[in-house]
Order: sequence, then structure tokens, then C-alpha cells
Amino acid sequence: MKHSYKKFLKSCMVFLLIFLVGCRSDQLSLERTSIALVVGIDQSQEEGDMTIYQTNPVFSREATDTVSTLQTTAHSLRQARDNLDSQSAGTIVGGKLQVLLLGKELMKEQAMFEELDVFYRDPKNSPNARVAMVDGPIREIMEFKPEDKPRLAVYLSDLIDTTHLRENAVLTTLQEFHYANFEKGITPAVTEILFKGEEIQVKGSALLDENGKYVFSAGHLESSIIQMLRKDVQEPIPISLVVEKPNKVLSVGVTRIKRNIDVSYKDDQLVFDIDFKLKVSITENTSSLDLIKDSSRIESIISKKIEKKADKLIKKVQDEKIEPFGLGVYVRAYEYDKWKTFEDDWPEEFSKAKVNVKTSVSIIEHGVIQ
Amino acid sequence: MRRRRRKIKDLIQEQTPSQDEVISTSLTINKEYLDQTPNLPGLTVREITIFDGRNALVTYIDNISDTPFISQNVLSPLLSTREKDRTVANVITVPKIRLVNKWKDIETHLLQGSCLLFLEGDKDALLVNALKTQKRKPMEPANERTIRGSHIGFIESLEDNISMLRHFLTSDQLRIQYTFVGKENKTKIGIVYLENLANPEALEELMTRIEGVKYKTILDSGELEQMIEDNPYSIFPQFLASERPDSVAADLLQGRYAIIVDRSPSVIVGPINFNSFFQSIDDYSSRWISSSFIRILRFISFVIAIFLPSFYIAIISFHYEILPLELLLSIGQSRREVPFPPIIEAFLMEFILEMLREAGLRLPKSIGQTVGIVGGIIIGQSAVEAGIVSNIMVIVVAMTAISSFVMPNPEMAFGIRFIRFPMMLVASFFGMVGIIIGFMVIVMHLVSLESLGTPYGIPFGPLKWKDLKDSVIRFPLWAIEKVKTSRSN
Repeated sequence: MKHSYKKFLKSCMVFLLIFLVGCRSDQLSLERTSIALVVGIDQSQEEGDMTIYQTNPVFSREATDTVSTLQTTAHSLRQARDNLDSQSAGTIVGGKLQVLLLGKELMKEQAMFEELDVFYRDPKNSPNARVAMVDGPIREIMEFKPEDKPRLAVYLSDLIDTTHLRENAVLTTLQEFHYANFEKGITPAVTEILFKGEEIQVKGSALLDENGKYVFSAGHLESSIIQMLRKDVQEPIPISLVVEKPNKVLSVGVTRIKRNIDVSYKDDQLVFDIDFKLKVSITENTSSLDLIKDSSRIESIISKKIEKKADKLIKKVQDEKIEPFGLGVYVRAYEYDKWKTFEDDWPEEFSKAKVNVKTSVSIIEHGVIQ
Repeated sequence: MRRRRRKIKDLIQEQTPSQDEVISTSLTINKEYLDQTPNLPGLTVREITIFDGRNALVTYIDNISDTPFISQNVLSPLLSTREKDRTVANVITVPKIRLVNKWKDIETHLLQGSCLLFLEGDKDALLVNALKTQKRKPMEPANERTIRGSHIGFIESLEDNISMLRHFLTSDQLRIQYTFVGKENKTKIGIVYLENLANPEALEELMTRIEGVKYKTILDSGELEQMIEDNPYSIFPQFLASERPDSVAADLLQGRYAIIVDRSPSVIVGPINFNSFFQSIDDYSSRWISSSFIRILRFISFVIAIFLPSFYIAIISFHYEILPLELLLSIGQSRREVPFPPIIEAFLMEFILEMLREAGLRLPKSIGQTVGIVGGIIIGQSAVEAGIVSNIMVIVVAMTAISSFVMPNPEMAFGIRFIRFPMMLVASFFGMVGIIIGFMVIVMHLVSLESLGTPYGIPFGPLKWKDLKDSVIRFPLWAIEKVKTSRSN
């Protein structure tokens, strides 16, 4: 009994020794932070500088506005944060970053990946932020405060997420952006948004080169095809086709996709045989097509349209010497020896490859009318 | 004063026989002794002439003895019998009569409520047990209510409690060992167990511990429990106290020992393990899926009761990233108005909660409701409006309160409520890392704890697959019958 009493005393002393030692803690109360929710990087008037915007929520009973937007000019993001810290009441933290906006003009000139270094180096920064390119000045979006929409961070991230859900644009988080940059068999692509009139709109996808420089934009259907090729789709994908000029439309939803991608060498040329098997359901038909009688025709119209779009996209991608589909991964898997010889300039090699896209469509549903 | 008393004492000793002597055959001398002794306050001495013509003294202490019982079974036969050739012992209509002749024994028995009969010319006095007891009806214990199952509870009498246990267990293997504790006031205790199931080593350990108790007076089983615990510095109870005969019987069937202390309605059971505190006798009478659900609920609320406030502090102070954006914004909004750091806020609210609970505990029911209203409306709502605490904190406190009330055992519930506070401290110093370290310390303590020499962490650590069937998930009865009635400890 006496022994355990001593033990108790000793553990009390240890407890006090631990807790009475003065040391700096990295404790930071929520209300003392200023949480960066949207960060925008745009071109600056001055040479070599960037303009950095940031919005953070304001927690105060007295303040009427719930959002504060800050702006600074700096050489790098970290520098900008130090500048912004001196403008803001709380300590700026990046752990809850929702959207990272990049200016189109800036991306045309500068390879963005290196500039984003601080997002990857500091583990407190969130890797889940969505990366988006803005066609137009970022300032307008950052100061956009419509009364019928939630705060910008929530609105933008919801907008990007739901557009991606319909496969009309790619969605790339900071982490995936890093992957696309690091992986030799793919080049990055990010969401592209546009501020038009009084609305923010997701335009499609911005395709970048291997260093993160802007190359060209892909529209909604093209974005769907990119994602079909990436095997990154959540069905159904809505597709609308004008079948009879001027305005008779047939709309379908792709409910199931089977993909088969074959890599081979024929006469020293890299050949991809890409085979899509789509199961679609008719969602709208304003044309005179008879869904039962003309079913095989409809199927061929849809598959032709997709094939045509895909061929055009691939042609353009090959011309621009980028490769956002991730087909290099298949080459590495099936033709490793050849891959080793050109892995460092895969987009260059891809531009010489032959890509055959074959699509077969079968209608499985006509809707409830009939 | 003291001097005078001593004088009287001396006088008495001169005239009358001392305590160690035997009684006299003369009634007059005996009566004199009884009149003079200071040890027997309230003694009634009645001289009568009994049926065979002899003189006799009937003595008892008024307030301890059952007077109607004595007049019916002792006085009335002695006075009204007409057959003069019968012996006195044949006339008295009580089942058990003893003969005593030492004054010391006589005094002890009189104090225990016996009635004594001195007969002219006899060397021994007749002793009849006529203890008057204040007995409560065996009602259902207030803090161990069940929905199904028996509604009987132990009362403040050792013998009655044993008889209730006997009702549940008719096995011929049931053994009872009586012993006494307390240096000054001896309290009778009975250790009940099933010979074929209980571990004899644990009994030996238990007996040596009970014999080693050097406390003067044991009034309640709770006091005895603290004297014989394995680790008195732990906040976890190492014996299970119950007022339910059915749950004690169920424990005996698992090879445990029940320690019944006379005059205490709560029976302590050991050796016990951590898992037992999550079980209730109701679990076995309801169907296995529903009782498994309840068990899981108890384990979840155990975790919530310990960790939720500290988790809140850790999130607000360190790890705001893990909250969804919308929740983060609304918490930030309500936190902004609070002038205190999260740890002060949490301590304030948790202390108020504990005070409310303690205040409501002993108050009459009608005033207890007032406490609830004051706590709920004034403190809950107004404190938020006044900007003293955030509304998320109120939700956290409410959830921990409800979770800590889910525990079937009040002792364990107290332990859990107490650990919250050190956990909140480490959370505010070290965030999630602190919580994890705190959790590991708790687990280490639990697995190193013992109850009567058997590991406290059974069946989780040391792992016992067979016993796991009756832990978080209660398997169907036929699958756990062996676990329920075996020497599992």
C-alpha cells in the first residue's frame, strides 16, 4: 500500500513536470484565423510580379459583410501571404482552401507548376482545393457578391463539382495537379471558368502542357471525351445532338460505358485501338425519328458524332504536343522497353501515334412515354 | 464528573459480580446485577411467578426486542400453562432456545435483541432470540431498473438478501462463508459463491483482504469495497455493486463472489472486468439483436462521453481543417462572439453540467425539475445569447451528458465523467496528439488493472475469443451459455 502511494506521488510529479514546462504551442484558435477559402493568382502590371487575391470568411457580429477580399502584389505566393497577413486581422491559414483560381493571361506566359510550390511544401495547406483557370480578369470574380448565391467559396466549389458530375469539365485538385505534373504519361488539365455578364460559368477544361502552361481549351463534350478516355466518369453523361436542322434535337444519357484500350506497334508506329461500348437511354426526342424503327440509325448517329468529336480532339491534341488522356500509362504498362526510350518527351511521341476510336452504341431505354 | 462516575463504577464492582463471572442461582443477585450494569440502557426486567410456582425474571431491551413476540411466545405460555410437570423449555413456543450463564454473553445477546429468562435455582439462563427489525419491502432499486425481469431488490438485512439469492439459485453447490469486519462494531458479512464454478484462489485472496481490514466500523458495502480493492488510486471501480438479486445470481453463475454486508442493500461482486460494466441484466431477457444494438450504443456513448469535449477543443484550437466547410463557417460564427479560449469555455460548461447533476441528485422531485429548467433554459439558451459560450459547445455538453447517463453502472459513469477533464486539458495543450496519448494512457491503465487478481481487460486484453461473444455484440443465448455459466475468470 505504501509503495503504490509513492508511485502515485511520482506520477503526479511527472504530470506537473510535463504540464508546467513552458513551451510554444502551435495552438491557433479558430476565431483568430483568417481562413483562405479562395485564392486567385493573376498577371500583374509590373514585370515578374503576380497579383494575388484571397477571400476569407469574417466571423464578427459587428461586421455586416461576411466575406473579406484581400489583394497584394508579390513575386511568390509565400511572399504574398506575408503581405496579406499584415492586412488581415487574423492569421492566414490555407488548410481549408476550396478553389485556386489561375488567370488565363498568366498561364499563357508562365509555367504555373513551379509557382504553386508552397501549396505542396507546407503540409498545413489543403491538397483538396480545386484548381481552375479563369478566362478573364480574376479581380471581377473575387469581388463578385451576388445576393441570390452563397458565399463565393461555396458557390464556386459547388459549381465546379456539379459540372464535373455531369462530365462537362474535368475536376483537378491540387493533389491531382501535382500527379499530372509528376507522371510522365499525362499532361495536366484543369477546369476553365468564365465570368460573363453577371454570371460565373464553367466553360469546359483548359488543357496545359507538362509544365502547366496553358495550351488550348476544350468544350463540354470534349471534356466528356477526355474523361471517358481517362476512365474517370460518373454516369450518366448527357449528350445532345442536333439531328434535323435547324433545331430538332435528340438527347441521350450514357448510362454505362465499357472501355477497352489496346496498345500495339504496327510497322514501328504506336497504335492505340480504343473501343467504347456505350449503353444509352433516350432522354429527349423532338425530331421525327422513330425510336423503334430507326434505332440502328440513331445508334450510328450517336457513335459517329462521338467518334468525330474524339478524332478531332485527338488530332488537335497531337498538333499541340500535349496528352491529357493519360494514354502514356498504357504504353508504360504494355510496351515498357519502348516507353523507356521516349518517356521524357511522351507528348512529342504521342503526336506521332495513330489513335483509332471505335464507338458502338446500344439503346437500352426509351423513357416512360412508350 | 469522571471522578464521580468512577466512584459509582467502583461501588458496583464491590457489590455485584463482574462481567466475567457466571450468573447466580439467586434471582435477587441477578436482578441486582441487571439493575446496576451501565451497559444495558433501556432494559426491562419483570419478575413473575411461572406455572410451576417458581419465581423468574424476564428481561429484554425494549427498543431492540419484539415485545408482542415476547408476550405471546414467552410470557403467555409461562403464566397460563396448567400442567405443572412440564419443563420450562417445553412450554416456550419458539423454535430455538439456548442456555447461557456468563454475564458477558448475556449482555452481548441482550444488546442484540434477545430475551432472557432467569429461573430461581437454575445455573443457566434461557435465551430466546426476539430481535425486532425494521425491514423495508424488497422493492425494485431506483437506479437499476429493468424493463423485463424481476422487480425485486436487496434490503438492509444479510439473511433476507441471502434468502433472495437462494430463490434464484437452488443449486446444492451454493456456499456461504460468514465473517465479521470492523474493529469496534462488528459487521457480519457473507460471501456467497458457487463451489463448482468459483475460483478457490480468488476466495483465498478475498478472505485475506477482508481479514486485513483495520477499519473501526463498516457501515456500508461501499466502505468495505474501498478497503479490499486492488488499486485504490484508480478511478475505475474494481467491484461491481448491485442491488438486484437476479444480476448478482447471474454473476455467481459466472464464477464470481458476492459479498453481502449486513445492513447494506448493495451487494458487491468480484472479480469483475471492464466489460461487465457495459452489461445489464436486461440484455439477456431481450432478444439478441436488440440487446446487441444497445450494447453497441453503450460503447459508442462511452467514447462520446470521454472524448467529445476534448475533440471539440482540439478541433477549435488545432485542427479546424477536418470540419466540412459549412460547419466550420457556422462554428466560426458562433465562436467569434465568445471571449474565452475553448478550454475555458468547455470547462465552464462541463462544470455547470456536473453541478446541475449533483444539485438535482438529492433534491425532492418537484424541486429537481426546477433545476432542470434553470439549467436547460437559463444556462443553455441565455449563455449563448449573452456570448459566454458558443451554441456548438452547448450541443457538445448536452451530448456528453446524455452519453454519460447511458452507462448502466453509476460508479463507472462517474469514472468516465471524471476522465473528461484531464482529456480536455491534454487536448487543449497538444490537440489530437494529446487525445491519442490520453486514450493510450487510459487503455494502458485498463489492461494493467486487476480485480481480485484477475485481469480487468478481459476479454479484450488479454484477448479471450470465447468471451468476446458476450461483449460488444451479445450473441444468441445458446451460443453464449458456456460463457455465462463457467469459470471464465
